[in-house]
Amino acid sequence: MKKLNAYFRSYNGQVLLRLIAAILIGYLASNAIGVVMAKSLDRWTSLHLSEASLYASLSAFFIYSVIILWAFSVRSQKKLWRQLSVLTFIFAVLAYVI
Amino acid sequence: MIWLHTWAGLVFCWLLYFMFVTGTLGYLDSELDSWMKPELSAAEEVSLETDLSAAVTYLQAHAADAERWFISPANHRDNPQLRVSWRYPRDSEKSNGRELINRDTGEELHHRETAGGQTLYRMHYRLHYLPSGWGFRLVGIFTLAMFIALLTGVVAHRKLFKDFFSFRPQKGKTAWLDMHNLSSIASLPFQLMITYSGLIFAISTWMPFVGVAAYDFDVKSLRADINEMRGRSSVKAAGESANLVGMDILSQNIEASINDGALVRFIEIKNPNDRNAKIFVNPHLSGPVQEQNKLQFDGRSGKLESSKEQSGALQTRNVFINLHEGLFAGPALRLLYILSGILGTLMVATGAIYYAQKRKRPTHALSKQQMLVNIVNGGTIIGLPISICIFMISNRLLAIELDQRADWEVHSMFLAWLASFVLAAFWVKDAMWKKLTLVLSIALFTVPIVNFFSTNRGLGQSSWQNDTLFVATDVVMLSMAAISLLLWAILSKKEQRQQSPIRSSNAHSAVA
Repeated sequence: MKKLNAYFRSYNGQVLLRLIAAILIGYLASNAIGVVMAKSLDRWTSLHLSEASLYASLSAFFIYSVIILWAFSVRSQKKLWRQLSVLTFIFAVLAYVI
Repeated sequence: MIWLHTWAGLVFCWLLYFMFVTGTLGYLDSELDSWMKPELSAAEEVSLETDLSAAVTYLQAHAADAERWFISPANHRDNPQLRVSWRYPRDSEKSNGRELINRDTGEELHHRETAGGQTLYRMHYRLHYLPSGWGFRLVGIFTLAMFIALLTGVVAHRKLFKDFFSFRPQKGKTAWLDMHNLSSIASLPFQLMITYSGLIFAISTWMPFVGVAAYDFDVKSLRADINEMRGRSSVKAAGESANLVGMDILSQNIEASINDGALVRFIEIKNPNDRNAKIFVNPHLSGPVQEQNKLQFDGRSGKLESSKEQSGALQTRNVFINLHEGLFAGPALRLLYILSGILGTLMVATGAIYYAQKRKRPTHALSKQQMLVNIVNGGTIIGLPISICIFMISNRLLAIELDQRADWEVHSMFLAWLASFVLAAFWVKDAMWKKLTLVLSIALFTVPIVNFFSTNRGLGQSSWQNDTLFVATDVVMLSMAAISLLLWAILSKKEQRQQSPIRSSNAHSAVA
């Protein structure tokens, strides 16, 4: 356990943690944002749901990339995890509610 | 950000290089197809009616009971010959087929079995030797990594324009960085376009959840909506036979309803010889924005039934896809695509070399890890072009009647690539780049020579007027061989200078 702790404090461990945050949590977040986008386009514009979800899907990779970039630009690892989880949670709830 | 750039960049360099090389050659897929079928020459373009009648006559004789027929008239670089294919329903025991047709005799055109340019192009997005689907998934991941490397690259080179104008060829490893910057910045708009549009292909593989969840997990209605959006018809066969419309009437109706100057890319005939026969006509693209949707005709009367307006979202998606594939590009734009592809290839290659150079300490011997990076660098960057030459040469040298000849062309390519890695490992301590470049140059020279002796369409045997493609291929091969020979000469000179520093510094002072 101690060893694992030490590893996550090392440079490589920090990179790994960031990669997990960016790639896994970021994937969840971008999917949630995409769903919210699709549903709100469907609800508040005249677009059909099929069109709205295609537009959202087209943007999904861009959203994902921006999240990954952001994950590597935030200085503090703790701040990153906190903000990213809050973001994911909010959008997941929104996606469910709308 | 700079360290993410190095990380994301390097780990994916080698596969990206493969994707760039095969993708750039993909812009010449039809040309390479024709080169690999030297028995055939491009059919002259005649009327739509002639092509359609010849095709339908052939299909009636060979696949009258198929569910769908596809006919591509010979009128474009994509279809130098009249081509037909046919499909049976999935549960049918009969097998699908495709043939090139001689429209004068109505018979199949015979040519050697070859993998062709299409197989090479397919490796660009599916790789090879992988279980179906996995190559495509992997490529999607690499594309995302490339997109992130590009975005972070822009951030890493904040002094974008200053970087662009600083090229210091004499400065060793800085020269590699400068070349990396130069090739990336010069083609940055292209790279961003090609990578993001590449990601669009992977939406249903890696981002399916957005659509599925937006439909509250009702996959059935999602599929139905997508099919409707794509204009896929759900016409079922009636089971009653009926005569198909005459091709003279059909081609007249097509020409009347297709946009002026547009050409037919392919027509699909669904349920031929059935009461519910439908004919779909797909025009060639004249630009990234599709101007005319596919036209639907009734299969018995040949009357135009509809041409639906396409949805805006689907059009947006198609613009990305069309920009990526560049099917609409004429010769000049195609050249630009290829040059941008080459710049991208250089960007990846110089990035990989710079990474290896940066970690070299002049006073220390190479570590095992550095040596491995060097071997993979050399084996990939020079080895892949060598293996593609072998791919082309094997098309000429493998016995015509060989079983699974097309597969063996590909096997030869990968065996040659493996051999390049072995050579690179063998030479890694001693002038690897120089020796590999010489091998590449020999391989490139060999292609036109083998072509000369194995066909009657070699250099001097055919002329620019009647066989542009073959002359152009020879000229390109010879020029690339000359360029690699030049590289070899430069590397040898550099090596000499390094081996005798005293003499070279004397030479410098003598010149001064």
